[in-house]
Amino acid sequence: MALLEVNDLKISFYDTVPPTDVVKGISFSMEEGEILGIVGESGSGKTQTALSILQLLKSHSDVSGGEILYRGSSLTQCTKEELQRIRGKEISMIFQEPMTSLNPVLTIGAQIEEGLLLHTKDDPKERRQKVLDIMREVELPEPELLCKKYPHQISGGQRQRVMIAAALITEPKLLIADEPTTALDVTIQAQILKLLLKLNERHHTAILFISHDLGVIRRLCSRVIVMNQGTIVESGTIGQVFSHPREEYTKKLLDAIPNRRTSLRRKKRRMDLSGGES
Amino acid sequence: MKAKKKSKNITLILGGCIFAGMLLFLLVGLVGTPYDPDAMNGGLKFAAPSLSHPFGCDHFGRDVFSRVLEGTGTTFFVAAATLLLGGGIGILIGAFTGYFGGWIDEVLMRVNDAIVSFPNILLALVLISIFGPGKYNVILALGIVFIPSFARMTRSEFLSQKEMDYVKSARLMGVSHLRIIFVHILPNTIPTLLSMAAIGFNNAVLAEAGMSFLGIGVQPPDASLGRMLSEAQAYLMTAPWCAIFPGLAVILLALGVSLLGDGIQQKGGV
Amino acid sequence: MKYFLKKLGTLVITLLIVSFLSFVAFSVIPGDAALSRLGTEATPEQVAALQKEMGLDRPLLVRYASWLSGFVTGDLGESYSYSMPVTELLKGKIPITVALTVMAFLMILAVSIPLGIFTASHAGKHLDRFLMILNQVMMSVPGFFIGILITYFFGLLLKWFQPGSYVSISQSFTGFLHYLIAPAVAIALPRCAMGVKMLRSSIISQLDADYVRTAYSRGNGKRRVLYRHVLKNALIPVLTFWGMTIADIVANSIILEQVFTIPGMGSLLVSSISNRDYPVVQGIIMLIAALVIIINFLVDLLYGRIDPRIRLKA
Repeated sequence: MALLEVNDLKISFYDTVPPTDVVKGISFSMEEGEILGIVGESGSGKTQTALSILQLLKSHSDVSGGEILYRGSSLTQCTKEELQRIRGKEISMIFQEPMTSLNPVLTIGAQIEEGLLLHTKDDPKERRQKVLDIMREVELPEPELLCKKYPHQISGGQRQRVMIAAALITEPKLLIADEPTTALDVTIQAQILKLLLKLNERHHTAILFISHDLGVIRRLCSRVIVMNQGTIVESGTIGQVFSHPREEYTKKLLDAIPNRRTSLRRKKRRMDLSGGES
Repeated sequence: MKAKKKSKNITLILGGCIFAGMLLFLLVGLVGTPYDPDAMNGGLKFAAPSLSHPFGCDHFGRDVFSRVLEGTGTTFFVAAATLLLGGGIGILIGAFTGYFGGWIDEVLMRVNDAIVSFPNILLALVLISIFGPGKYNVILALGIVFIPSFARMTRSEFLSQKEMDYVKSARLMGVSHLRIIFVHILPNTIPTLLSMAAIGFNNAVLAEAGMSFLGIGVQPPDASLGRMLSEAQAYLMTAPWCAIFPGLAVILLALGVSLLGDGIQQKGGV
Repeated sequence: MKYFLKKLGTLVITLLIVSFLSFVAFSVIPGDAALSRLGTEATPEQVAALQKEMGLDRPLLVRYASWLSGFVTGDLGESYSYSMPVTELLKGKIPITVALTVMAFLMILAVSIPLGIFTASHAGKHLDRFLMILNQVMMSVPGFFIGILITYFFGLLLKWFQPGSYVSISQSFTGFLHYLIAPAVAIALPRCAMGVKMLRSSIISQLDADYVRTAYSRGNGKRRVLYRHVLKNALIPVLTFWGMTIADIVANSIILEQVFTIPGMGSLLVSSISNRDYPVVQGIIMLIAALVIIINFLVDLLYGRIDPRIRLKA
């Protein structure tokens, strides 16, 4: 049985008349321990897809068709209580903006610990030990000191590590990462990707990685789905998609990756556009 | 499905109706009151509401309906004049300090912050104790008290507007500062200023009524709802209508405008 | 600690500025204090003698300095109309104002916090809409009119209390508190309405924040998200409002004391304004001003306690 199975998923926005479909019937599945990437421009529906899995869509949007199955049971049909047991325990999520995604008035320690508080019967001592352990594992410096600090006191990269620690402390089977490195600078981005790979290997946590950047996806994922305007235009292993893109849209996305031989081609096109004067 | 229906703006409609009703009431008062508001009639002392005296009569046998008509007029006049004075000066100060900035802006805003944290009614009382009571002094005192809040609001609007592209391009085209302030930016701040004005009007009505109630606001022979309430208090048991109708007039005057302001705000955004 | 000292510095400076401004304002009032005390029939020599006696011939700054040192040591000068020290006059009035303010403020907190949370978490539903319109109505009712209505219904008709028969603390403490309930309710009601509106919109705007989505993603229920995550954040902007509310209650108690014939600071202020008894007016105004400034200081400290971003940045 697949870990996650999405069948003919449709998502609509209801703040317009008539409602707008932002995801128009997509299907894909993920196996345990796999890292799957979803790539697309903003507005392609990739973030809505990610949010819909844990039923975190904003109030004006909703799943309007299809089903999402986690280990065979439906996430769209289950009760509130069942959903709460799955959120943060079976499936965790990290977001694009680590600054606003952390609660500004709670300490880092309290926010990492929360998953244990909600999903385990650990006593305070065990919880504290686990918090310190996971902080070490995500390579946060001086955990004892750091866990008493507040989000605004640490760097952006550290904040995203805190988000990861909080998401993984309950040892979920699936981590959904919605553009977790977009707000970070390139060096930090590389470190976070390396960390995610390490955690995937060590704990066999599957990762659904959402990004607009194919370069990032290539470094991390084994398979990739390309989305455009609410539909899947292409999917396959990284090797297939990168070396033999079938769709014109995918080729365009590939062109957008810096440091690639295609950059030569782009340069040429730019010259064409400017009339070849320079 | 979580589809949201576009609900009617009840607040706006309700506010509009109440406000229109009060305006009509005011107009009636301007055209003429059924009785002389100051004519005393011993035989009608504490007469209960009836067809000829719909709101009853007070302790001097004066017609309460006529007096409420006149008092509403006074309160409306004071509130509107206060708004014009305080709002006008406040908007000017806010527009210039927000647009030009600089140390004057810094100093004025520090002073503003200090003043705004004091209760309106207290500042008005201080000023009244200096100017002395009376209709025009109340307007002056309340007007001065309202300047800082208007200045602050206008300033923050101007601060955000002046960074917009349309202002920059107007500058590049050589439009003068004054023209940019009044012709280009000011019209764009009207929604905010309108809801601010609604709050201001509401506060002015309540403050005037409060001060007149204390006997240090509008003075006789000017009729005043606050003074009527304070006089009526002594005869509450015998003639509750002397208190209820002026009180209702104050409430409706304040409520209509504040609902209207809220409605406009809801329509504008959020 | 640094934060505390910084705020304490601001407190002292604001107090100095406000006291100086109010001193100047009362010094430029038309009608010399000495003249108003002696009456218009006084000879110029008498006026000059009294001016000297009252110290009015000295420069403004010198007079301010002596007045300020008096204020700090509790000497607010002498009342013109009562011929007794202002401090003596005020001494008996302060507990009344304090009791009234504390009662009204507690009522506001007790009503507006639960109602604000309730309406925010039921936003858009019928009950919320009804409550919000009721709220708007309450905000437009002057406190003194509520006072009159309470006097009429609960005092005269139902006879729950005796209007106009104020009980002083020395007579009976419980009787004193009992009599203050009605005016406290009258002051509190319009401000409860404002409090509900403030808290409601603050909570609603926080519910859209990213950290709320994070909290849900960890498996928090609606209640825990509201109380553990949102409430503390939502209270930050409301704190300022509460601080201003306390000052507002004090100012409005001036009016409500008239309605319920309570011989407090408000009645004294109103009669002193009418009698042009400036030392008393100035003393009361300074006292309230000091209260406002000290409350702002306390609110700032509370801010620091709730919001680590403020405490740790300073």
